[in-house]
Amino acid sequence: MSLQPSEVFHTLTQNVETVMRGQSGAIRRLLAAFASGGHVLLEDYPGTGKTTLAKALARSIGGRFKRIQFTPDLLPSDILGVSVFDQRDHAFHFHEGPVFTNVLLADEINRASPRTQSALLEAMAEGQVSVEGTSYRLAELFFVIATQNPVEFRGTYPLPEAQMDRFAVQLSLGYVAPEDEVAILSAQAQRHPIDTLAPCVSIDDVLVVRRRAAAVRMSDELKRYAVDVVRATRGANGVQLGASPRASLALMKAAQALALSEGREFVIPEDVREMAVPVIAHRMVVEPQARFAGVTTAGLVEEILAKVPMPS
Amino acid sequence: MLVTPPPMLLGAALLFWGWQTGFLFLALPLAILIEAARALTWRLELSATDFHRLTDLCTLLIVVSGVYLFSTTGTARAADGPRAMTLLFQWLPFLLFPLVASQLYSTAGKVPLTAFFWALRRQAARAPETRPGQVDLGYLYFALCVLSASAANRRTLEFYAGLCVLAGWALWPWRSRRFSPLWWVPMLGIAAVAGYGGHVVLHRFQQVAEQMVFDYIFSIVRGDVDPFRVTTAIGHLGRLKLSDRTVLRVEPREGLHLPFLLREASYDVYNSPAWLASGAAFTAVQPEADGETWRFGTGRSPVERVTVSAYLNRGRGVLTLPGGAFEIDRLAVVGVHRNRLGAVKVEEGLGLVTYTALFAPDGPLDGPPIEPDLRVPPREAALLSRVAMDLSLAGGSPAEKVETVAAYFRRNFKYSTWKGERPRKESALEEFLLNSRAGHCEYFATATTLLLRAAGVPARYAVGFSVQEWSRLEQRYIVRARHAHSWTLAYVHGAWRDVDTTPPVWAETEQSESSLLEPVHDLWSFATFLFSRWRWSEDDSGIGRHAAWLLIPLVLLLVWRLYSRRRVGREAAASRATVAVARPGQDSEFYLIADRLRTAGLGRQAAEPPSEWIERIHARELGPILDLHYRYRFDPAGLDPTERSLLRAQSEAWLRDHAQEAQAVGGRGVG
Repeated sequence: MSLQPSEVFHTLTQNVETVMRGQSGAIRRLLAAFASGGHVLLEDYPGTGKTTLAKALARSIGGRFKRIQFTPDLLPSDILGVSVFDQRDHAFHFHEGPVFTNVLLADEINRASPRTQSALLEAMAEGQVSVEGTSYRLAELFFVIATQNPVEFRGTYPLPEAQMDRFAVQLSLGYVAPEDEVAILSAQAQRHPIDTLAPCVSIDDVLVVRRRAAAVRMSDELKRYAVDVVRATRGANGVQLGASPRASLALMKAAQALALSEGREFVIPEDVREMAVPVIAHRMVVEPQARFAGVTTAGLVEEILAKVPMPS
Repeated sequence: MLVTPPPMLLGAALLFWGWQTGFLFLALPLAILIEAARALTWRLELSATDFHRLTDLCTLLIVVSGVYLFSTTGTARAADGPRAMTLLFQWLPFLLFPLVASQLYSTAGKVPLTAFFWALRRQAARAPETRPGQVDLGYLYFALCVLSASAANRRTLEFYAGLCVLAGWALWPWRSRRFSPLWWVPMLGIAAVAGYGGHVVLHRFQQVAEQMVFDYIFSIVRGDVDPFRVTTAIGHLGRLKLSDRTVLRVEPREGLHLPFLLREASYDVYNSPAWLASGAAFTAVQPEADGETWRFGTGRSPVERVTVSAYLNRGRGVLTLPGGAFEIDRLAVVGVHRNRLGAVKVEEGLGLVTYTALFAPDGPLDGPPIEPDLRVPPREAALLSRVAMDLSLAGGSPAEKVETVAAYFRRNFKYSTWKGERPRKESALEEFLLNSRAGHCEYFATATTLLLRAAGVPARYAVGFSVQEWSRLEQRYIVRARHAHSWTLAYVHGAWRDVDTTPPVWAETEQSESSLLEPVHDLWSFATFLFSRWRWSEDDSGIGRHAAWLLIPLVLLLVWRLYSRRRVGREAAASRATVAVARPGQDSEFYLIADRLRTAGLGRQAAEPPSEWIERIHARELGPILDLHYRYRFDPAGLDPTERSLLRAQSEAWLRDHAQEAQAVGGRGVG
């Protein structure tokens, strides 16, 4: 018997929270992005639990799970797969790469060269991979959760704008409160709790949730509000590249999924507002002089949210 | 951004402005026009470009008015009127009225910021999809009216009272709703009284500070300069006669004999090589009732008159007057001072003055002779008594002595712009009288003066100009800088007479040295004179008054442009907005609750999520009502009738509870 959508969210949250402490807000938004069918990029300083969170979510879902550790010498074929000549039947056979999975953890994605990073473009956008003229369908549930260090760090290649746009949501975790940090110490005194983490929802449950999320109702007024917010990024001061219409689409889907996680059948303005920064900020490019002046994309989106009148 | 001011406030501010500045006749229609916007339903559909044009027009109006005011009033404080800058400031509410009025009568109701900044306009042109910021000029215009009213500087208590009332009116909608108006009004009163006291104290403090600074600076400079002797800086011996520049203009008149002498000053003490004025302190002359006639005493017949135009540097200077002047007419200056020796200086006049001097041979401008007018300096005494003896000046009447001296110079001396190898042992005068027998007017005048004194005739040394050139271009006499001249005043028959012993040939000598470009200079000088006369003209018949009429076609053009815009009703504009995005559930009772909370000073900010808002104001009991409201508003499926009535019932219950609560709180007397 399959679970109700809100139960799926609840179970997943509980399961992940046994590993990730003090990050309930990030987990909530991560699950919303997951339910909306988008891919997630976790960006934060080293040691804040990006990989742990990604692994916890991946392991909570009862499906195939692959992990790629991105390194500077990683090649596209290491991700997508490669055709190998079989001497016995004198033919090439395609060996599937790690991308053929349900949940793909791309760890430290910005350590690989842009060429390798771009290998994921087609897979993330269209759910298929083209190798040597042949297209291979990926699984129906294909979810990429990537982590990266902030781009200013050494030995990193910034993701191309097109690749960034493929991620529905970018989240950062931030440092947890002192009490939570103490709890993490206690929990990991003997061994890491993630080792005992078991899957709690099936792939079917996830697919049902995704279908239900897409059916959540959103009024025209709120669609207009979402579009207004996204459009405002294109003309904001200090912005070189504003958010694309794909951002509006992702914002709508994320808001729908968030509403579903709350057990609602319709979207309210707060949903749009909550998902605006995670959905929009990473798609914008700030002009160099504005960046040096301390302007951040997240700050710009916050400003826009404070300016665009919110329907009430 | 700023919001719309309360009704009637702008009109009241305009009337206040009109009352203070004296433009009430103008302020009244403007105020009516502004307030009528609330009553009228039609609106003009003005685009950003229209607002740009309007702003440009207002800028043009300000510039034109500025030029007009500065050209008619000048930068200096002329007479007792206000400065051009102050006047311009007083006019601002009128000059900016087109912009404010079009905002009030436009469908947008606000003015785009691009109207005020070129940089924003360029930015908007580059990126048309961005929406420029908009501003409501209401409160800004209110502040401008009050400031402009203050420029009238009436300094009355009524002004301050009016200011306080208007400020209170403007602040009234913004008072905190958590406190009763019974608190608010006395607080405003206290602020007003404190403000008045503060301004008085500040004024006193400024006076004290100014006095201290003045005392300090004066204590530093007192050792070097005596500030009460600046009057001695009027002209010296040794004036250079070079420039072709026209300095004076004399209107033609019947019976004006050339050369005609116009004097600036006379001196009585000779201390080679300078003439000094002793006991020449200036005393103020009081004007007649019309403020432009200055009388030094009643003249005796025959009365003659001459009209002179002269430039004043920074509004002050020394007048050139004919000998024996006793009255000056049509002289528009603030202060006139004269001294014993017939010098008249003026203060705070316009850049160009044209005045008529009335004079008689025995006019009272020069004081009667005193002892210094007969004194011959010891260095020259021996020389002069010898020459006087040669001319046998001991006997005879003063008139005969003057004639003898004049004849002596006429016969034996010639004119020369003497370029000086310096005399070896003799004084300059000795060289002139005994050896060279040639010199320029200063030698003749000095020698004549001292010779007459040696003969017992009181005499003074006078400097000024000799009127001798008729300008065919200007049809009047012109006096150039090189016509500067010096001569002698001799006291004969109870009056000071001009005695000019310089050979008349001096004028031609000077003329021969004039520049080839002189006609060009003259033309330019004439043009400058005409402009200056227009600029400083006192009667309103000049071009200045007509310049204002040039604005009328401009304003008519603007009105026509605005009128030809499509006028739309408010309803039409509103319905178009609803077509764009449907906003169901506008009749939700939750809005009544929000209104109630706003009146209580707990309103929601525009971008604040309602759930955060009720959290912030500790009104969590609204949670279920908000949930229903949200479904009513944002769920495309809407509410079923039961739920709709539930929303209504719950909202009404809340409103009822809180009405009682408010009464209970009000009963306790605390807001």
